Amino acid sequence: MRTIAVLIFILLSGALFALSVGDDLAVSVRQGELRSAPGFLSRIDARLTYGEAVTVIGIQGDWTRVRVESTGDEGWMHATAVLPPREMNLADVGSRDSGASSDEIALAGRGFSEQIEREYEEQESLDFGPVDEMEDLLLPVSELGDFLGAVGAEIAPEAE
Amino acid sequence: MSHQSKQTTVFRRIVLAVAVVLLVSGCAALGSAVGELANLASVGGNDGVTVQTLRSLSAVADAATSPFTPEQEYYIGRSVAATILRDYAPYDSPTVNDYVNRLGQSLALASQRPVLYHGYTFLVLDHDEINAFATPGGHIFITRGMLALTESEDELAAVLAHEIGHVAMRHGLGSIRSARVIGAVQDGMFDALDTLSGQELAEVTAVFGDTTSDIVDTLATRGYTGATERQADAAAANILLRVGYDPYALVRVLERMDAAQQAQYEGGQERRGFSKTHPRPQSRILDLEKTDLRNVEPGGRVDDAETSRRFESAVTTF
Repeated sequence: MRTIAVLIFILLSGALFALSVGDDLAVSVRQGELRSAPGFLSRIDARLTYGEAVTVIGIQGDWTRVRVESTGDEGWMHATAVLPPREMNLADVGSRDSGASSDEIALAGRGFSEQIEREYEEQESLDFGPVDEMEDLLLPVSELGDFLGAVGAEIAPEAE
Repeated sequence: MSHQSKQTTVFRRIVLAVAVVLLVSGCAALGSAVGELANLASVGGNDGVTVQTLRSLSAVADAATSPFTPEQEYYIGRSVAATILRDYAPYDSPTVNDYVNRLGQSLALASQRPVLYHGYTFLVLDHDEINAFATPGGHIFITRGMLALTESEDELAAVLAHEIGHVAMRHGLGSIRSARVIGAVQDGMFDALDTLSGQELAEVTAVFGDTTSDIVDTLATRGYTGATERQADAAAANILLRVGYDPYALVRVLERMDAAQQAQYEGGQERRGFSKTHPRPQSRILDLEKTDLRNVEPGGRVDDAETSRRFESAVTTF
Protein backbone atom coordinates (compact mmCIF):
# COMPACT_ATOMS: atom_id res chain seq x y z
CA MET A 1 0.00 0.00 0.00
CA ARG A 2 3.05 2.17 0.33
CA THR A 3 3.09 2.20 -3.43
CA ILE A 4 -0.04 4.34 -3.53
CA ALA A 5 1.51 6.94 -1.27
CA VAL A 6 4.67 6.90 -3.35
CA LEU A 7 2.63 7.33 -6.53
CA ILE A 8 0.72 10.25 -5.03
CA PHE A 9 4.02 11.80 -4.03
CA ILE A 10 5.53 11.39 -7.48
CA LEU A 11 2.43 12.96 -9.03
CA LEU A 12 2.62 15.93 -6.68
CA SER A 13 6.37 16.26 -7.08
CA GLY A 14 5.78 16.86 -10.76
CA ALA A 15 5.06 20.44 -9.74
CA LEU A 16 8.76 21.03 -9.24
CA PHE A 17 10.47 23.00 -11.98
CA ALA A 18 12.91 20.82 -13.91
CA LEU A 19 16.43 22.11 -13.29
CA SER A 20 19.55 21.54 -15.37
CA VAL A 21 23.20 22.28 -14.68
CA GLY A 22 24.11 25.62 -16.26
CA ASP A 23 20.65 27.19 -15.80
CA ASP A 24 20.71 30.88 -14.90
CA LEU A 25 18.11 31.34 -12.16
CA ALA A 26 17.02 33.89 -9.60
CA VAL A 27 16.27 33.54 -5.89
CA SER A 28 12.46 33.34 -5.65
CA VAL A 29 12.03 33.76 -1.89
CA ARG A 30 12.48 36.76 0.38
CA GLN A 31 15.51 35.28 2.08
CA GLY A 32 17.24 32.49 0.18
CA GLU A 33 19.40 30.24 2.35
CA LEU A 34 22.71 29.12 0.89
CA ARG A 35 23.64 25.95 2.77
CA SER A 36 26.83 23.97 3.25
CA ALA A 37 25.14 20.68 2.22
CA PRO A 38 21.74 19.53 0.89
CA GLY A 39 19.16 19.43 3.70
CA PHE A 40 17.17 21.92 5.78
CA LEU A 41 19.30 21.25 8.84
CA SER A 42 22.63 22.03 7.18
CA ARG A 43 24.67 25.10 8.12
CA ILE A 44 23.53 28.37 6.49
CA ASP A 45 26.57 30.12 4.97
CA ALA A 46 24.83 33.10 3.34
CA ARG A 47 21.39 34.65 2.98
CA LEU A 48 20.42 35.81 -0.49
CA THR A 49 17.83 38.43 -1.46
CA TYR A 50 14.85 37.99 -3.79
CA GLY A 51 15.90 38.25 -7.42
CA GLU A 52 19.60 37.55 -6.77
CA ALA A 53 21.14 35.79 -9.77
CA VAL A 54 22.51 32.24 -9.31
CA THR A 55 23.78 29.57 -11.69
CA VAL A 56 23.06 25.87 -11.21
CA ILE A 57 26.31 23.90 -10.86
CA GLY A 58 24.94 20.66 -9.43
CA ILE A 59 21.73 18.80 -8.63
CA GLN A 60 20.98 16.24 -5.93
CA GLY A 61 17.34 15.22 -5.52
CA ASP A 62 15.31 18.30 -4.60
CA TRP A 63 18.49 20.29 -3.89
CA THR A 64 20.61 22.29 -6.25
CA ARG A 65 24.21 23.48 -5.84
CA VAL A 66 24.48 27.06 -7.08
CA ARG A 67 27.06 29.76 -7.64
CA VAL A 68 26.00 33.27 -6.64
CA GLU A 69 26.71 35.68 -9.51
CA SER A 70 27.56 38.72 -7.39
CA THR A 71 29.86 37.09 -4.83
CA GLY A 72 31.04 33.86 -6.43
CA ASP A 73 29.88 31.99 -3.28
CA GLU A 74 28.82 28.41 -3.82
CA GLY A 75 26.35 26.38 -1.80
CA TRP A 76 23.12 24.38 -1.76
CA MET A 77 19.57 25.69 -2.11
CA HIS A 78 16.25 23.86 -2.19
CA ALA A 79 14.97 23.67 -5.76
CA THR A 80 11.73 25.48 -4.80
CA ALA A 81 13.72 28.55 -3.70
CA VAL A 82 14.89 29.42 -7.24
CA LEU A 83 13.08 30.12 -10.50
CA PRO A 84 13.93 31.18 -14.04
CA PRO A 85 14.05 35.00 -14.05
CA ARG A 86 11.22 35.18 -16.60
CA GLU A 87 8.86 33.51 -14.08
CA MET A 88 9.55 36.44 -11.80
CA ASN A 89 9.04 39.18 -14.41
CA LEU A 90 12.78 39.74 -14.35
CA ALA A 91 13.40 38.75 -17.96
CA ASP A 92 14.44 42.21 -19.15
CA VAL A 93 16.18 43.60 -16.11
CA GLY A 94 17.67 40.30 -15.06
CA SER A 95 19.35 39.29 -18.29
CA ARG A 96 23.08 38.97 -17.97
CA ASP A 97 23.58 41.64 -20.65
CA SER A 98 21.52 44.37 -19.06
CA GLY A 99 24.14 45.30 -16.50
CA ALA A 100 21.51 45.56 -13.78
CA SER A 101 22.80 44.47 -10.39
CA SER A 102 20.85 41.92 -8.39
CA ASP A 103 20.10 44.66 -5.85
CA GLU A 104 18.41 46.74 -8.51
CA ILE A 105 16.36 43.75 -9.60
CA ALA A 106 15.29 42.99 -6.05
CA LEU A 107 14.36 46.59 -5.35
CA ALA A 108 12.32 46.89 -8.52
CA GLY A 109 10.26 43.83 -7.58
CA ARG A 110 9.80 44.74 -3.94
CA GLY A 111 8.78 48.35 -4.49
CA PHE A 112 6.01 47.32 -6.83
CA SER A 113 4.12 45.16 -4.36
CA GLU A 114 4.72 47.16 -1.20
CA GLN A 115 3.42 50.26 -2.90
CA ILE A 116 0.18 48.50 -3.82
CA GLU A 117 -0.25 47.07 -0.33
CA ARG A 118 0.03 50.53 1.20
CA GLU A 119 -2.52 51.89 -1.26
CA TYR A 120 -4.92 48.99 -0.63
CA GLU A 121 -4.46 49.24 3.15
CA GLU A 122 -5.60 52.85 3.01
CA GLN A 123 -8.55 52.22 0.69
CA GLU A 124 -9.94 49.29 2.68
CA SER A 125 -8.92 50.48 6.15
CA LEU A 126 -7.11 47.17 6.62
CA ASP A 127 -4.60 46.61 9.41
CA PHE A 128 -1.51 44.62 8.46
CA GLY A 129 -0.16 44.70 12.04
CA PRO A 130 -1.71 41.35 13.02
CA VAL A 131 -0.42 39.81 9.76
CA ASP A 132 3.12 40.98 10.61
CA GLU A 133 2.74 39.46 14.08
CA MET A 134 1.57 36.18 12.56
CA GLU A 135 4.55 36.13 10.18
CA ASP A 136 6.87 36.60 13.15
CA LEU A 137 5.82 33.12 14.31
CA LEU A 138 8.12 31.61 11.66
CA LEU A 139 10.73 29.39 13.34
CA PRO A 140 14.13 28.26 12.09
CA VAL A 141 13.99 24.61 11.01
CA SER A 142 16.68 23.85 13.60
CA GLU A 143 14.17 24.72 16.36
CA LEU A 144 11.45 22.34 15.20
CA GLY A 145 13.21 19.39 16.83
CA ASP A 146 11.06 16.39 17.52
CA PHE A 147 8.12 17.75 15.53
CA LEU A 148 10.00 16.91 12.33
CA GLY A 149 9.34 13.22 12.93
CA ALA A 150 10.62 10.99 10.14
CA VAL A 151 11.42 14.08 8.05
CA GLY A 152 14.09 15.03 10.59
CA ALA A 153 16.32 12.19 9.45
CA GLU A 154 15.46 12.85 5.82
CA ILE A 155 16.54 16.49 5.90
CA ALA A 156 19.55 16.12 8.19
CA PRO A 157 22.86 17.20 6.69
CA GLU A 158 24.75 14.42 4.98
CA ALA A 159 27.89 13.14 6.61
CA GLU A 160 30.77 15.02 5.02
CA MET B 1 9.16 44.07 -25.40
CA SER B 2 11.96 41.53 -25.68
CA HIS B 3 11.50 38.24 -27.49
CA GLN B 4 11.76 36.35 -24.23
CA SER B 5 9.18 38.40 -22.38
CA LYS B 6 6.86 38.12 -25.39
CA GLN B 7 7.14 34.36 -25.08
CA THR B 8 6.34 34.66 -21.42
CA THR B 9 3.26 36.70 -22.24
CA VAL B 10 2.10 34.17 -24.81
CA PHE B 11 2.67 31.36 -22.35
CA ARG B 12 0.82 33.21 -19.61
CA ARG B 13 -2.14 33.69 -21.90
CA ILE B 14 -2.25 29.99 -22.65
CA VAL B 15 -1.97 29.19 -18.99
CA LEU B 16 -4.70 31.64 -18.16
CA ALA B 17 -6.97 30.26 -20.85
CA VAL B 18 -6.55 26.80 -19.37
CA ALA B 19 -7.19 28.13 -15.89
CA VAL B 20 -10.40 29.73 -17.12
CA VAL B 21 -11.48 26.54 -18.90
CA LEU B 22 -10.84 24.58 -15.73
CA LEU B 23 -12.76 27.03 -13.61
CA VAL B 24 -15.73 27.14 -15.96
CA SER B 25 -15.88 23.38 -16.25
CA GLY B 26 -15.24 22.98 -12.54
CA CYS B 27 -12.66 20.38 -13.42
CA ALA B 28 -9.42 20.96 -11.64
CA ALA B 29 -7.96 17.48 -11.82
CA LEU B 30 -4.22 17.69 -12.20
CA GLY B 31 -4.12 15.11 -14.96
CA SER B 32 -6.59 16.90 -17.20
CA ALA B 33 -4.86 20.23 -16.53
CA VAL B 34 -1.62 18.75 -17.81
CA GLY B 35 -3.39 17.33 -20.85
CA GLU B 36 -5.25 20.48 -21.77
CA LEU B 37 -2.25 22.68 -21.28
CA ALA B 38 -0.09 20.43 -23.43
CA ASN B 39 -2.72 20.46 -26.19
CA LEU B 40 -3.06 24.21 -26.18
CA ALA B 41 0.68 24.67 -26.09
CA SER B 42 1.16 22.47 -29.12
CA VAL B 43 -1.62 24.28 -30.99
CA GLY B 44 0.30 27.48 -30.40
CA GLY B 45 3.58 25.73 -31.23
CA ASN B 46 4.23 27.79 -34.33
CA ASP B 47 3.44 31.00 -32.63
CA GLY B 48 6.38 31.68 -30.40
CA VAL B 49 5.88 28.84 -27.91
CA THR B 50 9.33 27.31 -27.90
CA VAL B 51 10.83 24.15 -26.49
CA GLN B 52 12.09 26.27 -23.62
CA THR B 53 8.54 27.31 -22.77
CA LEU B 54 7.23 23.78 -23.09
CA ARG B 55 9.83 22.53 -20.67
CA SER B 56 8.24 24.57 -17.93
CA LEU B 57 5.04 22.59 -18.45
CA SER B 58 6.49 20.25 -15.87
CA ALA B 59 5.57 23.04 -13.48
CA VAL B 60 1.96 22.82 -14.59
CA ALA B 61 0.49 22.59 -11.12
CA ASP B 62 2.13 25.92 -10.42
CA ALA B 63 1.78 27.53 -13.80
CA ALA B 64 -1.82 26.55 -14.46
CA THR B 65 -3.01 28.72 -11.67
CA SER B 66 -0.24 31.23 -11.12
CA PRO B 67 0.23 34.12 -13.48
CA PHE B 68 1.79 35.86 -10.48
CA THR B 69 5.37 35.97 -9.23
CA PRO B 70 6.20 34.41 -5.82
CA GLU B 71 6.44 37.90 -4.40
CA GLN B 72 3.05 38.95 -5.76
CA GLU B 73 1.53 35.73 -4.40
CA TYR B 74 2.93 36.65 -1.00
CA TYR B 75 1.48 40.16 -1.09
CA ILE B 76 -1.91 38.85 -2.26
CA GLY B 77 -1.72 36.37 0.64
CA ARG B 78 -1.00 39.18 3.10
CA SER B 79 -4.06 41.11 2.05
CA VAL B 80 -6.23 37.96 2.21
CA ALA B 81 -4.84 37.37 5.73
CA ALA B 82 -5.52 40.98 6.75
CA THR B 83 -9.11 40.64 5.50
CA ILE B 84 -9.64 37.39 7.46
CA LEU B 85 -8.15 39.02 10.55
CA ARG B 86 -10.63 41.89 10.21
CA ASP B 87 -13.46 39.40 10.81
CA TYR B 88 -11.76 36.93 13.18
CA ALA B 89 -9.66 37.82 16.22
CA PRO B 90 -6.47 35.83 16.81
CA TYR B 91 -6.73 33.45 19.77
CA ASP B 92 -4.50 34.99 22.37
CA SER B 93 -2.52 32.01 23.60
CA PRO B 94 1.22 31.95 22.85
CA THR B 95 1.34 28.31 24.02
CA VAL B 96 -1.28 27.05 21.57
CA ASN B 97 0.00 29.18 18.69
CA ASP B 98 3.60 28.09 19.28
CA TYR B 99 2.51 24.43 19.32
CA VAL B 100 0.46 24.79 16.12
CA ASN B 101 3.39 26.53 14.40
CA ARG B 102 5.94 23.88 15.39
CA LEU B 103 3.63 21.17 14.15
CA GLY B 104 2.50 23.00 11.00
CA GLN B 105 5.93 24.21 9.93
CA SER B 106 7.33 20.69 10.32
CA LEU B 107 4.53 19.30 8.16
CA ALA B 108 5.12 21.97 5.50
CA LEU B 109 8.69 20.72 5.08
CA ALA B 110 7.22 17.40 3.97
CA SER B 111 4.98 19.04 1.34
CA GLN B 112 5.86 19.30 -2.34
CA ARG B 113 6.53 23.00 -1.83
CA PRO B 114 8.50 23.29 1.40
CA VAL B 115 9.92 26.74 0.62
CA LEU B 116 7.70 29.80 0.12
CA TYR B 117 8.54 33.47 -0.36
CA HIS B 118 8.13 34.04 3.36
CA GLY B 119 7.39 30.55 4.71
CA TYR B 120 4.34 28.94 6.31
CA THR B 121 2.95 30.46 9.52
CA PHE B 122 -0.10 29.38 11.50
CA LEU B 123 -2.57 31.16 13.74
CA VAL B 124 -5.51 30.00 15.87
CA LEU B 125 -8.62 32.19 15.47
CA ASP B 126 -10.82 32.89 18.46
CA HIS B 127 -14.08 31.57 17.02
CA ASP B 128 -16.14 28.47 17.73
CA GLU B 129 -17.18 27.77 14.14
CA ILE B 130 -15.39 24.74 12.66
CA ASN B 131 -13.10 26.11 9.99
CA ALA B 132 -9.60 26.46 8.57
CA PHE B 133 -8.25 28.74 5.81
CA ALA B 134 -5.01 29.18 3.89
CA THR B 135 -3.82 32.20 1.89
CA PRO B 136 -1.60 32.03 -1.22
CA GLY B 137 1.16 33.58 0.92
CA GLY B 138 1.34 30.62 3.34
CA HIS B 139 -0.74 32.11 6.18
CA ILE B 140 -2.78 29.24 7.62
CA PHE B 141 -5.66 29.82 10.06
CA ILE B 142 -7.49 27.28 12.19
CA THR B 143 -10.44 28.21 14.39
CA ARG B 144 -10.72 27.35 18.05
CA GLY B 145 -13.81 25.30 17.06
CA MET B 146 -11.79 23.18 14.62
CA LEU B 147 -9.00 22.74 17.14
CA ALA B 148 -11.53 21.55 19.74
CA LEU B 149 -12.82 18.97 17.26
CA THR B 150 -9.42 17.27 16.94
CA GLU B 151 -8.63 14.61 19.52
CA SER B 152 -4.97 13.89 18.83
CA GLU B 153 -1.86 15.38 17.25
CA ASP B 154 -2.40 13.11 14.24
CA GLU B 155 -5.83 14.64 13.64
CA LEU B 156 -4.64 18.21 14.08
CA ALA B 157 -1.74 17.41 11.74
CA ALA B 158 -4.28 16.14 9.18
CA VAL B 159 -6.21 19.44 9.22
CA LEU B 160 -3.03 21.53 8.93
CA ALA B 161 -1.61 19.28 6.19
CA HIS B 162 -4.82 19.69 4.17
CA GLU B 163 -4.41 23.49 4.31
CA ILE B 164 -0.70 23.20 3.43
CA GLY B 165 -1.86 21.21 0.38
CA HIS B 166 -4.04 24.13 -0.75
CA VAL B 167 -1.06 26.51 -0.48
CA ALA B 168 1.41 24.15 -2.16
CA MET B 169 -0.94 23.61 -5.11
CA ARG B 170 -1.83 27.31 -5.36
CA HIS B 171 -5.55 26.65 -5.06
CA GLY B 172 -6.27 30.18 -3.82
CA LEU B 173 -5.04 31.82 -7.00
CA GLY B 174 -6.87 29.18 -9.02
CA SER B 175 -10.14 30.41 -7.52
CA ILE B 176 -9.84 33.84 -9.13
CA ARG B 177 -12.79 34.48 -11.43
CA SER B 178 -12.79 38.26 -11.73
CA ALA B 179 -12.88 39.31 -15.38
CA ARG B 180 -10.95 42.43 -14.44
CA VAL B 181 -8.12 40.38 -12.96
CA ILE B 182 -8.04 38.00 -15.92
CA GLY B 183 -8.00 40.94 -18.33
CA ALA B 184 -5.23 42.65 -16.38
CA VAL B 185 -3.08 39.53 -16.43
CA GLN B 186 -3.68 39.17 -20.18
CA ASP B 187 -2.58 42.75 -20.68
CA GLY B 188 0.58 42.11 -18.69
CA MET B 189 -0.39 44.62 -16.03
CA PHE B 190 1.35 42.58 -13.34
CA ASP B 191 4.53 42.46 -15.39
CA ALA B 192 5.20 46.12 -14.64
CA LEU B 193 8.38 46.67 -12.70
CA ASP B 194 8.57 50.42 -12.34
CA THR B 195 7.11 52.39 -9.49
CA LEU B 196 3.53 53.22 -10.35
CA SER B 197 1.85 56.56 -10.07
CA GLY B 198 -1.59 58.14 -10.37
CA GLN B 199 -4.04 56.36 -12.64
CA GLU B 200 -1.75 53.35 -13.08
CA LEU B 201 -1.50 52.80 -9.34
CA ALA B 202 -5.27 53.14 -8.95
CA GLU B 203 -5.87 50.54 -11.70
CA VAL B 204 -3.41 48.00 -10.38
CA THR B 205 -4.68 48.49 -6.83
CA ALA B 206 -8.26 47.86 -8.04
CA VAL B 207 -7.11 44.62 -9.68
CA PHE B 208 -5.23 43.68 -6.50
CA GLY B 209 -8.44 44.32 -4.55
CA ASP B 210 -10.48 42.11 -6.88
CA THR B 211 -7.89 39.35 -6.56
CA THR B 212 -8.03 39.56 -2.78
CA SER B 213 -11.83 39.62 -2.52
CA ASP B 214 -12.21 36.74 -4.99
CA ILE B 215 -9.94 34.57 -2.84
CA VAL B 216 -11.58 35.66 0.43
CA ASP B 217 -14.98 34.92 -1.11
CA THR B 218 -13.82 31.41 -2.02
CA LEU B 219 -12.36 30.76 1.42
CA ALA B 220 -15.24 32.19 3.43
CA THR B 221 -18.35 31.77 1.32
CA ARG B 222 -18.14 29.90 -1.94
CA GLY B 223 -15.71 27.11 -1.16
CA TYR B 224 -13.39 25.24 -3.50
CA THR B 225 -14.66 22.61 -5.92
CA GLY B 226 -14.89 19.05 -4.65
CA ALA B 227 -12.01 18.09 -6.94
CA THR B 228 -9.81 20.77 -5.39
CA GLU B 229 -10.63 19.57 -1.88
CA ARG B 230 -9.79 16.02 -2.85
CA GLN B 231 -6.41 17.16 -4.21
CA ALA B 232 -5.68 18.80 -0.87
CA ASP B 233 -6.79 15.61 0.92
CA ALA B 234 -4.36 13.55 -1.18
CA ALA B 235 -1.56 16.03 -0.47
CA ALA B 236 -2.38 15.84 3.24
CA ALA B 237 -2.32 12.04 3.30
CA ASN B 238 1.09 12.14 1.65
CA ILE B 239 2.49 14.68 4.10
CA LEU B 240 1.17 12.67 7.08
CA LEU B 241 2.82 9.52 5.78
CA ARG B 242 6.12 11.25 5.16
CA VAL B 243 6.35 12.72 8.65
CA GLY B 244 5.13 9.49 10.22
CA TYR B 245 1.60 10.37 11.29
CA ASP B 246 -1.36 8.10 10.74
CA PRO B 247 -2.88 9.18 7.40
CA TYR B 248 -6.17 7.66 8.50
CA ALA B 249 -6.40 10.53 11.02
CA LEU B 250 -7.70 12.59 8.10
CA VAL B 251 -10.64 10.21 7.70
CA ARG B 252 -11.32 10.26 11.45
CA VAL B 253 -11.37 14.03 11.56
CA LEU B 254 -13.63 14.17 8.49
CA GLU B 255 -16.02 11.75 10.20
CA ARG B 256 -16.16 13.96 13.25
CA MET B 257 -16.81 17.01 11.05
CA ASP B 258 -19.61 15.09 9.40
CA ALA B 259 -21.18 14.36 12.77
CA ALA B 260 -20.83 18.00 13.83
CA GLN B 261 -22.37 19.10 10.56
CA GLN B 262 -25.31 16.69 11.01
CA ALA B 263 -25.89 18.01 14.51
CA GLN B 264 -25.99 21.54 13.09
CA TYR B 265 -28.63 20.56 10.53
CA GLU B 266 -30.72 18.76 13.07
CA GLY B 267 -30.44 21.71 15.42
CA GLY B 268 -31.86 23.85 12.60
CA GLN B 269 -28.73 26.01 12.55
CA GLU B 270 -27.68 27.94 9.51
CA ARG B 271 -24.82 26.36 7.57
CA ARG B 272 -21.67 28.28 8.27
CA GLY B 273 -17.92 27.91 8.34
CA PHE B 274 -16.61 24.60 7.18
CA SER B 275 -20.00 23.01 6.42
CA LYS B 276 -20.91 25.91 4.16
CA THR B 277 -17.73 25.91 2.09
CA HIS B 278 -16.84 22.21 1.92
CA PRO B 279 -18.39 19.19 0.22
CA ARG B 280 -20.03 16.67 2.53
CA PRO B 281 -17.20 15.02 4.48
CA GLN B 282 -18.74 11.62 3.75
CA SER B 283 -17.99 11.97 0.04
CA ARG B 284 -14.36 12.83 0.76
CA ILE B 285 -14.01 9.91 3.15
CA LEU B 286 -15.17 7.55 0.41
CA ASP B 287 -12.62 9.07 -1.94
CA LEU B 288 -9.79 8.71 0.54
CA GLU B 289 -10.78 5.13 1.26
CA LYS B 290 -10.28 4.26 -2.38
CA THR B 291 -6.59 4.79 -1.65
CA ASP B 292 -6.96 2.13 1.05
CA LEU B 293 -5.44 4.26 3.77
CA ARG B 294 -6.76 1.88 6.42
CA ASN B 295 -4.07 -0.60 5.44
CA VAL B 296 -1.16 1.80 5.18
CA GLU B 297 1.48 1.43 7.83
CA PRO B 298 2.26 4.87 9.23
CA GLY B 299 5.92 5.81 9.05
CA GLY B 300 6.22 5.28 12.81
CA ARG B 301 5.62 8.61 14.52
CA VAL B 302 8.70 9.20 16.63
CA ASP B 303 7.09 8.84 19.99
CA ASP B 304 3.37 8.37 20.51
CA ALA B 305 3.62 9.13 24.21
CA GLU B 306 5.42 12.37 23.37
CA THR B 307 2.88 13.49 20.74
CA SER B 308 -0.03 12.79 23.14
CA ARG B 309 1.72 14.65 25.94
CA ARG B 310 2.38 17.79 23.92
CA PHE B 311 -1.07 17.73 22.27
CA GLU B 312 -2.76 17.38 25.66
CA SER B 313 -0.70 20.12 27.27
CA ALA B 314 -1.13 22.61 24.40
CA VAL B 315 -4.63 21.96 23.15
CA THR B 316 -6.78 20.48 25.87
CA THR B 317 -5.99 23.27 28.28
CA PHE B 318 -7.66 25.94 26.22
